Amino acid sequence: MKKRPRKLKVFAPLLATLLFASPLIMTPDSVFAQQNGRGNRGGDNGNSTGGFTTGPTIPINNSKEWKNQFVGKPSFRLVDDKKMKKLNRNMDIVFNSYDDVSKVVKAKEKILKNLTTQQTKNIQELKKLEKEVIQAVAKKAKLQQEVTALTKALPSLKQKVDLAKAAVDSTAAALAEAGVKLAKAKRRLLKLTAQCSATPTPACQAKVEQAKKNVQRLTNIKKQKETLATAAVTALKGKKAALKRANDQIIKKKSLIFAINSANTIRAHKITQVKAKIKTQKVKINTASAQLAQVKASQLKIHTHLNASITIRNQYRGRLIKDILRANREGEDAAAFDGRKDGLDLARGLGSSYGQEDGLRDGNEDGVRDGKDRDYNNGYSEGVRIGEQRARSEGELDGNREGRIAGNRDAGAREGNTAGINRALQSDAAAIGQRQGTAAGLDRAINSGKRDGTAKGEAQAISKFETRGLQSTTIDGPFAGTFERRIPRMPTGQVGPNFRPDGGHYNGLMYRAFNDSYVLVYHSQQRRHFENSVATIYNRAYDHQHRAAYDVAYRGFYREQFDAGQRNGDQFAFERDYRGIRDSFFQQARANFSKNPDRSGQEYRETYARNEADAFTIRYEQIRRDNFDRFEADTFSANISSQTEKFRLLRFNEVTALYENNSVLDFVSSNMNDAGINGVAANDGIFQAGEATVHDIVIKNFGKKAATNASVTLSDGQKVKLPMIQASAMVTVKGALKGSIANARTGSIDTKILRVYAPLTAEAKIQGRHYDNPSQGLVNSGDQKRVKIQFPLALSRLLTNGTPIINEPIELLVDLGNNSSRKYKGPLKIEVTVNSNGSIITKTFNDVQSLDSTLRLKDAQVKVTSESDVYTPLTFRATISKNGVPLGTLDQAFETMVKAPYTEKPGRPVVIVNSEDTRVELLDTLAQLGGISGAAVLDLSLTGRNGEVLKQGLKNKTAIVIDRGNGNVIKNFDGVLAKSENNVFLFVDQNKKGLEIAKTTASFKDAGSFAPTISGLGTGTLVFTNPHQVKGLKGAQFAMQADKATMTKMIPIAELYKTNATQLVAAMKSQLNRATYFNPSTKTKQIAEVFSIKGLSEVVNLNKAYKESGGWLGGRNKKIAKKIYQDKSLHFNTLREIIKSQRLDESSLGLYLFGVNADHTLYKAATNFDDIDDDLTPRTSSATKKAGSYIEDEVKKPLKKFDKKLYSKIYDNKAIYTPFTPGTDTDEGINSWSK
Amino acid sequence: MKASTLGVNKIKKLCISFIMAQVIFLGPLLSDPTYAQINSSKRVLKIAVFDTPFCPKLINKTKKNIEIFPPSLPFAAQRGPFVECYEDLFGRHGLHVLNHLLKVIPKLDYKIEIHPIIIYTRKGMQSERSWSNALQKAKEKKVDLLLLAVGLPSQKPLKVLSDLPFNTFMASGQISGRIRKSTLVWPQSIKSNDRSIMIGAYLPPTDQLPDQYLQDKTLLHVEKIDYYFSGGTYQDRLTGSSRAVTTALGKALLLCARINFIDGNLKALKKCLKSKKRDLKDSFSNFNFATF
Repeated sequence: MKKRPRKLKVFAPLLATLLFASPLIMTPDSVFAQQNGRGNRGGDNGNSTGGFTTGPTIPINNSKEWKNQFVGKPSFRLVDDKKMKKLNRNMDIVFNSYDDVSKVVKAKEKILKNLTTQQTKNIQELKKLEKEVIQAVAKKAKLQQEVTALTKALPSLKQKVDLAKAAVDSTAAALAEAGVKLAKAKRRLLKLTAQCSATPTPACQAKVEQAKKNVQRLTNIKKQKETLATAAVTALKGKKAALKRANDQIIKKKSLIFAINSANTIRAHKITQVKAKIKTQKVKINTASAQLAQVKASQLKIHTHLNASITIRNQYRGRLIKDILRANREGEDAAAFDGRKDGLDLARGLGSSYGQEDGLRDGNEDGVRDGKDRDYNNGYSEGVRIGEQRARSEGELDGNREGRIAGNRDAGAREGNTAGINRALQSDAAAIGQRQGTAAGLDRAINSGKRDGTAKGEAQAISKFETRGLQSTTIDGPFAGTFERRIPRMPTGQVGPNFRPDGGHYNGLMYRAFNDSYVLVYHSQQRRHFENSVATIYNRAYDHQHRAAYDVAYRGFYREQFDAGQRNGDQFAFERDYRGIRDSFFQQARANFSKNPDRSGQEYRETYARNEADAFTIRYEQIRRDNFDRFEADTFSANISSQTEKFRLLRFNEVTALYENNSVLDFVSSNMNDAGINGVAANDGIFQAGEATVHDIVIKNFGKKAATNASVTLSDGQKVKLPMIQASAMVTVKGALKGSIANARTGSIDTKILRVYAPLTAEAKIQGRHYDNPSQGLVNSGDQKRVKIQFPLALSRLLTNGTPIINEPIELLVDLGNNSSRKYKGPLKIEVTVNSNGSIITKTFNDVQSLDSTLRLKDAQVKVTSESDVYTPLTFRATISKNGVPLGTLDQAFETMVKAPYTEKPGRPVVIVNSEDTRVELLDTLAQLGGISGAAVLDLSLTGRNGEVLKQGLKNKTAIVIDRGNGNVIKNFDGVLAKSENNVFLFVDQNKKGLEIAKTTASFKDAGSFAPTISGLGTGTLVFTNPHQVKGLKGAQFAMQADKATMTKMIPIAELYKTNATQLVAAMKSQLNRATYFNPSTKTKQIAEVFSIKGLSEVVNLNKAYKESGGWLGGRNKKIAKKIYQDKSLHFNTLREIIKSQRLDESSLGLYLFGVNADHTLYKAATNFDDIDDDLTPRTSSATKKAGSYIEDEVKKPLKKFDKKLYSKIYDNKAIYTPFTPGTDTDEGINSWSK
Repeated sequence: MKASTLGVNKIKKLCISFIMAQVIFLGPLLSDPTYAQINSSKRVLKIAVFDTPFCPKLINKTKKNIEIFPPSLPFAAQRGPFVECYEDLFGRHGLHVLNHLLKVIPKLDYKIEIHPIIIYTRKGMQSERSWSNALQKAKEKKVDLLLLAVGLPSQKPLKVLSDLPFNTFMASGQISGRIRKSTLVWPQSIKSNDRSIMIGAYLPPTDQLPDQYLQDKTLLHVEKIDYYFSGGTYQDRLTGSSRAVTTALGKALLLCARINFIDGNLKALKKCLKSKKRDLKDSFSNFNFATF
């Protein structure tokens, strides 16, 4: 068997898996609308509904691949784009329509198929019947032929039967005859046999035999006859059978013919029936085909529309994504540039700062060190030069002089020497030497004994009282070599001056796309460039500062080191050179004069005399010395021990006496304790500003006499004489000195330096051995204490026990902590202050009598009664003191806010808030509105107290809804909104999400929206509830998005929205006239614009109600659409009715003129303002235009008649108060009011 | 050949294969010191920490089974080994290293002794002599491991100190002040792979950049670094390779708790750490940090 290749064994299963699995791996992004069940047609819109049967030929592009190119994490969805959402919705609508019509097509097709199938069956049945008939007829003919043939053959068959009968008879007779003969023969045989048996003769036997043969022969004949007879019978049987068969055949075939006839009769009847069925069915099929064709035509139309929708949607999506990615890239580029710049700037800032600091410190250190070294070396070099010079000049001079002298002296010496030696040899040197050696040996013993014994005794005496320590060495600067990172790290979360995430010239999603990449890339690049460059910058700053500090320090002239160097250099060079130079000259001169001395010279004579004397002396001395040495050494050895011991004891006693009779002081340490302020807060281990300090000192007195002349000074100038320092003791002088902590801020460091003085009264070497400066009597160089200035007690967690409500008392709580090292006894008084308008602290904290570690105080009380103190920031502060001495303060001021139940304030906006969530925003908003008196507050956190208003809802209010952007307030308020009436809602939040969230609540179901333009405010989205779609809603309520900056501007507009149609018309009538119409004030324009906006909102709501009243293919309630121009309560219709009721004159002219604009507004809204016209159905679109034209009908002719010029002018300025620009599709996001 | 001989040969082959399989698969396991030591682990692990003086009052509470011994000052030049606590207001390096070590060191089922040994004077001076005395002290205490978040910088090769006869976790060191890439730092400059594990620091992700790791370009001895750990953020007290090496030691003890630190042989520990190794990557270059 062939072996499978190894590779195939491995890869074959893999390939198989891939082959089978590949159909299962579907690209999730690109979806063709050919799924079963529910599918996400609109991509990330969340608006898709249901599955569909067949789909468009253009794929819906929901690819998320663009996110792979997106830098950062998108903070938005594509459907946040209003137009994208709208296109998705449109597409879905068309999809649904297509779905519906496809279902109908399918149903129709099924019906047609069934009909056709049935018809086919019918036809087949007919054919079958007809075929059967034909076959039957053919069969019948054949049968008839057969019957005829058979009938013809009957006579001959009969005849045959007759013949056969005759044959049977004949053969039977023959047989009978043969039988008779045989019987006879047998009888004869028997007889013969009987005869032969009686007399068996040959003749008899021959007869018998003959008879037997005869019998046999006759038997055979009989057999033959039998056979013939049988055959004849058989033949007869056959002939009879044949005849019978023929007869039977004839009967059978005749009955068959009869059956065929009957069957054909039935068939003929059936054929008739089937033909009728076929005819009927044909009609049905035709009808069904026609219906199917019709529906298919609709389907095709919708299919085309669907493809178009998808194409438009895909194209727009593509463009949108392109724009987003472009904005994102721009954000990335901008961020890379800005981040890099800020990162480098920050690196420069921090790196330079730290580098400079370290460089300055190290540079100064190194500069001083090197400067000192340099000056020392310079001094040394200079010294060497001086030394050399000096060595040269002095050497020569001295050499010559001394050489001459030496030469003369040599000669003198030589000659004198000889004479002297001779004289010495004859003297008393030996005797003298002996005597002197003995004396000297004794002296040396005494001296050595003194030296060694003294030192030993001194050391012993000292060590009796003290010990000594070791020295240490260093290599580099302080704590160099510890590996925490000194080069500054990038502070996280910090942004620089170039951080500009607001997306430049972009709006909507591009704005966000720009921001998303900007923020991420900014931080990334900032960090990257910071870390890449900070080390270099640090090093550069360090080096620069190091260099500068080093230069400055180095430039200094270190006199001390220079002098020391010079001294040493001079000494070194002189000592090195002088000898050689001098010796050289000396040798030369010496040799000369030695050879030829000046005998008259003084040196010769002196030398001679001296040498003679010396030689004499020397030899004398030598002799004496030899004797001396010998006797000296012997005497020394005999006396040294006793002498050493004697002096040891002497010094020991001296030093001991010094210790015994004097103090010998050594400073050990000092301690600084806190002594309180006016007796308060002492000894708690905490040093407060202004607190007295008490300094304890530990001094060793090795001496046996108390030190009474010691004093101590503190760095603040104080000096105090110390009490007696006990002898032989390590004395702790408690409270040696008092000082006080500086009156500086808490947290700062106060430094005290303590020095001890005690003038010496005995040998400085011993008594002052531990002194820092014996000549000044300074015992220690200065003991430094650094303390942090703090309070011993701490107040923290000052807060109320719950939410303060106006007119309700509430507990005030605070934690009291003890940071000191001891228990505190009272009375400790806690004082609380607050920046309220009224007096709100109804009870202060009781004094605390004792405090160990911590205590929670709960006995103070606060009650606010004045409205001026509610919903306003209240800051509580506290201090704790004892006997007027402050001991602690509150670590962090307690900020709170007092709440109040809702109170009706006519004419004031209502701020709807959950003060638990958005306290800061509430306070900001109230501040903008002029304080609590400028608004009513409906605080949703006080559901109990505000129960009534929450149950009843609000009426005719401008409501400012403050939400954090998480929907907490908005969603909780939805129930109240449902009960409210004629309110306008401004959703205020910095993230501009409030209105979006509101739209998800029940009250805003099927809410209408469009983006009108209002003079003085700009263009922004307006949303309004739809009372036709939400059961229980009392009229439309308007909502807009605002932020801090735009809120106050929008309040007056909100007031206009609450005004009813009649009031608005009246206002317009009073403000619009011939003079003002074409040059109105902003306020007047706003009135007119709001009127139109309100009117259009009614159209939008009715349009929605109409659409929802039925399906695409029919069933909608036309009456709803007709309301647009019939319902007199609607704004435009009210205007029409009022115009109708008033004659045209100057007082009503403004209204008439406005009527022209109203018609224009309605017309354009229905045809050319995408926000509205895209959603209108043909019917509602037509109704809208009708509403306008009905108004125009009332105003056109009267105006033309009244004033033709004015008439022309108004028609040239039809759009004057139209609150949108026709032909625009506002792509703006919800936040435009803010721009 | 007879059938019986064939059969015997087959059996022989099977036996040989079986034995070889045992040797191949079990041999390393049997010779693995980790395995060999698990059944006879030491009861106490002694770690010496060379560093600056510190105020003992500021040391955080220790965990059970972990004891911090009083610090040793091998040369009695100063009055006591402690910094006066009011001087040590912000804590010295040695204090931060100890507190961080206490934070990262796990509670194991055997005792851990931490022996601080001071190599700096209170004024911040160190020398070859202070190091050699410290090493002598460590030898006397028979420590198993050294933690060095420090080093001895010099411009020229040292005269007294040569090799480092202890198992050591050492920080790679950073540029700062006088210390540059060219500065010789002992013992980092003579790091031997048998007895030392060198740890470097990386810059960790931040809140704004949760996926960004960066190489710390101020590190010294990059070519000798075995593993990297976070160098902390700008808000941490202990940063840089000091923090990284302390964290590494704690993590190593946690991951390789059953490894016994045999004198002179870090092999078992290195093998264990290698098995736990994973790589991080610098977000902008191809530089990889091995960590565990």
